[in-house]
Amino acid sequence: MSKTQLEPPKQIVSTSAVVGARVNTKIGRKLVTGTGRFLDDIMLPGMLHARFVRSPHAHARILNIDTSKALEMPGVELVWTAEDIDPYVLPFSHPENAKHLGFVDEEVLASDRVRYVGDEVAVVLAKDRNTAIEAADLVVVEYEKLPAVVDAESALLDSATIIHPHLSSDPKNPIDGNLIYAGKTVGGDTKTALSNADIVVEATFTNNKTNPSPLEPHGCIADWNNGSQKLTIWASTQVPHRLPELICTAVVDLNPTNIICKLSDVGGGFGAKVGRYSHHVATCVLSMYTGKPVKMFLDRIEEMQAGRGRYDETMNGRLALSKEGKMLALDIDMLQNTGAYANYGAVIAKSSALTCGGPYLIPNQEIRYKLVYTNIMPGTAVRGFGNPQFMYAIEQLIDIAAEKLGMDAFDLRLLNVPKLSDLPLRTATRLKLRDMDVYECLTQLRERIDWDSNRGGRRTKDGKLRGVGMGTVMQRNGNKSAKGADYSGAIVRMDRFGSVTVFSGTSSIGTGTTTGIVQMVSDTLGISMDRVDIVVGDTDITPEDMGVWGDRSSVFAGTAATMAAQNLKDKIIRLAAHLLNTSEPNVSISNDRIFESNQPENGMSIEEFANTATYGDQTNRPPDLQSGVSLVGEARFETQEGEFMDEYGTGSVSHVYTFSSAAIVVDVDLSTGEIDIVDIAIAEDAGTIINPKLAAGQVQGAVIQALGEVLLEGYQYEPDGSLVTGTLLDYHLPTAADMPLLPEDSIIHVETPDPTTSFGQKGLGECATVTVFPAVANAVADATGIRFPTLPLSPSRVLPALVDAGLREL
Amino acid sequence: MSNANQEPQSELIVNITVNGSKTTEIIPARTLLSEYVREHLYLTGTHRGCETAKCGACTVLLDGKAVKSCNVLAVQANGRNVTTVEGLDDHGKLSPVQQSFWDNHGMQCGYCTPGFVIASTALLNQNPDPTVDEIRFGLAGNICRCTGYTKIIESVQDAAQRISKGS
Repeated sequence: MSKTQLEPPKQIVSTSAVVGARVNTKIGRKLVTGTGRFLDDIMLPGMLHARFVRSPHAHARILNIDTSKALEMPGVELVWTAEDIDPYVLPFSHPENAKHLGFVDEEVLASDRVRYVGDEVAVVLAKDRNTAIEAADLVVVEYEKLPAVVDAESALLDSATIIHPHLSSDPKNPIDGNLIYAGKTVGGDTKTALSNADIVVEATFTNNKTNPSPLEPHGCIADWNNGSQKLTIWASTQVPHRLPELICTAVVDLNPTNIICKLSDVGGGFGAKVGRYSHHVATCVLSMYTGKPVKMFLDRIEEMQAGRGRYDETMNGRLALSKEGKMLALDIDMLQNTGAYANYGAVIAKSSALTCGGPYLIPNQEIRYKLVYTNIMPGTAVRGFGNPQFMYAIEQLIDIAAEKLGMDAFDLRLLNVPKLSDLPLRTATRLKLRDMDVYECLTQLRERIDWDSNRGGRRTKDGKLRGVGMGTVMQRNGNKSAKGADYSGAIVRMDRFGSVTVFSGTSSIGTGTTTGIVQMVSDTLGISMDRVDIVVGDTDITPEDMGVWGDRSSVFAGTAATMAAQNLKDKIIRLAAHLLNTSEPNVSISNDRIFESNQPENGMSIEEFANTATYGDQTNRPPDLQSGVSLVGEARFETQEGEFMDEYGTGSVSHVYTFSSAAIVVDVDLSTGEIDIVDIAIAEDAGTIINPKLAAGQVQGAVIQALGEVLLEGYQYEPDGSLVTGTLLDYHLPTAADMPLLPEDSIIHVETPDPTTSFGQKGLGECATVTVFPAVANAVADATGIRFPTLPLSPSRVLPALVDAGLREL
Repeated sequence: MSNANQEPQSELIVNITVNGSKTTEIIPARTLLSEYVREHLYLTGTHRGCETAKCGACTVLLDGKAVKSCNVLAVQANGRNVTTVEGLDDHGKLSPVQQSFWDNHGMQCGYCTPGFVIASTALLNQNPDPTVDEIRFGLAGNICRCTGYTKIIESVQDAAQRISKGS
């Protein structure tokens, strides 16, 4: 293959070098003073507050809804059921489901049946939130309970209750019973490879259903202007430019161009804020109907019931190897517990099946997946996007294979990963790997975690069982195939005082990307960071962008902003060369000064330049600039590397991939069943690190988020679909007291610059969330010899297994 | 139970000193302290994360002690002193805890940050030189989903040093 088809944006050689520096986040002062403007902080005159009535049943037919008591309550504006809202809305689903699978399965308000605890049944609009909450409690809904099914395997039985009967009976979509869709990703010929291999290991693992729980709940404010016929929304979203388009698929006669999406500060996303939900649609429609601003801000109980989370998936996998340890085939059957609505189920399955080979050069891969309706909360994109589920299984299969072969598990991995000199190459699923030093990451990881002395399991002095394990991922950066295109736009503007504003279509959700963008623009222009500000997310003024997800922001929004800054710089230099009476290649900008490179005293400050460009003698300019000097640069960066998925489910859908690995040492406490995290090391190649402090923060957060999922968290539903873990009392999110410290020296960044991004940067926010899943599981197995088929590895699960294994007495 | 013949008061007058200023409002009796500072005083730095006293995003100081303001009625604060995150800086100069959280990147999305900054301020008032474990357990009532806590703990350690040096 050709190394790259893309004419890369000229990579910037940093002069003042804030790229790579540990600078403070641009938004920090705002956040520590509490002056951020999150969704709930926005209060508009005359604003009404909306609240859903949600289903207490997992599966039931709606017989009657009596809204009269709620309507009698003072301060209640209206109460709507499906019948009332249906003239204004359309059923919706993830656009991929509508486009490729030919169905939509969600309603803003349930019309005839509810399908999970938390499903939206009615909406109340009132003068304040408390009134809306109380009125919602007065809506009386009469249900006829239906049998519920909560696990995917049972949902596929012939005897199972059908959750979407009208879709199941429609021949125009693939839905059959509760099976939403069965697909596969095929590279090579696993059947032949499996039968010819020296050894084949097989195992089955299921992960837990979790909720990423961004601390700020979901919310939306919609404000219809009857004069301009425009709808302004404020949304806690990761995708300000996509959300209007998504909302319009669910609203009758509303055009995306007529929606202005303004971004409040966003209190975390982790994937849960990439979609369009009923609350977005309802607030828009209610504002258009009443002509008043309408706010809906969910509470934590609604978040637990209906906020969406990570899919629980069962992986039955086979890994075939030669007796020398060469991996020959990976063959997996995946069963996804998709929940009441399909939402992200298919795109996550396709994407993660594509990348689940990780860094391993396995020539034959076949992943078959089934998506299944059940009566539980639907899932969505969550940090890692399906990769934690796959890598949790595959990295455990590798450890099992190593044991069978009598090889060290680390050696086995090293035997199957590419060296830097092997690149570029395409994997069996046609991913294009380039410019990444997997081997070096793993070598440093092994040393940092002291693998060779920790591996093999031993008893510590205080009687615990110690072991070490590891995991890897090849994480996507964006996805052209899922969205039809993958791009970001940017505008960089210098004002007449020499200060710079970046207009970026990205979203600021805590990832630090906006600070990174300012650093890149600052270095590109040679202007200090404190002169550069950034505006994000207001779709009326920022160029279009696909949003913050899939580790894409630094890559796409960062490169676009750098290119726009370069575009501005070219304009600056053109005029400056004329003013300094020299040629353009001889003009430099550095430390807020513009000067002749080999004669630095011939120059001026950036303020003086900006002033001259605005107020200076027009005749002292190149002729074509005499009618005005525009100090605005702009650019769009669109991937040429990303490909569309082919009929086999393969193709290099992402612009670039980030390799990441984790190794973890655990102690298993035989008396309590608790797992102590003793040491953690992360080694990854995210290219050039723009800001080591903020990058470390991303990795630390990713690790702890995953440790919460692996050790503590997990949805529990009763067989009838009742939600057991509906509050933060029953669903324990990790606190500082539960979690180990992860000092920055635990994190190794091997920096192989990507040749197609502005500073060689790749994404890194999701990676460590993935690798921690298998690393903990493999460490526990190394310590105890026990493989746990399900998560989390909580004491209630570990302790009985220790008894069964004869490691402790009851 | 109060006297059965007496109608419960649905509205009350409260006098609460907030960030050094005396405030007087007529409020519904049910008003939570978090609602009082946010919706009556427009001090929106006190965030609502769970409204069930589990996440700590709404932590404020009540007579110097950290409390979760979603779990306190405004009337319980009547006649008392409340400090919210907006009251920590000194005419624009950040408090040592605020500055340390910024410098050490003890935040990402910032939604939990006011609660952590307030809780850390209270912790350091009680214990000016806490160990790492004292910080970990001292802040266990606050949830941060972004940072993984290490940089928050480092921020508090740094703040303790700044305070002891009197900077």
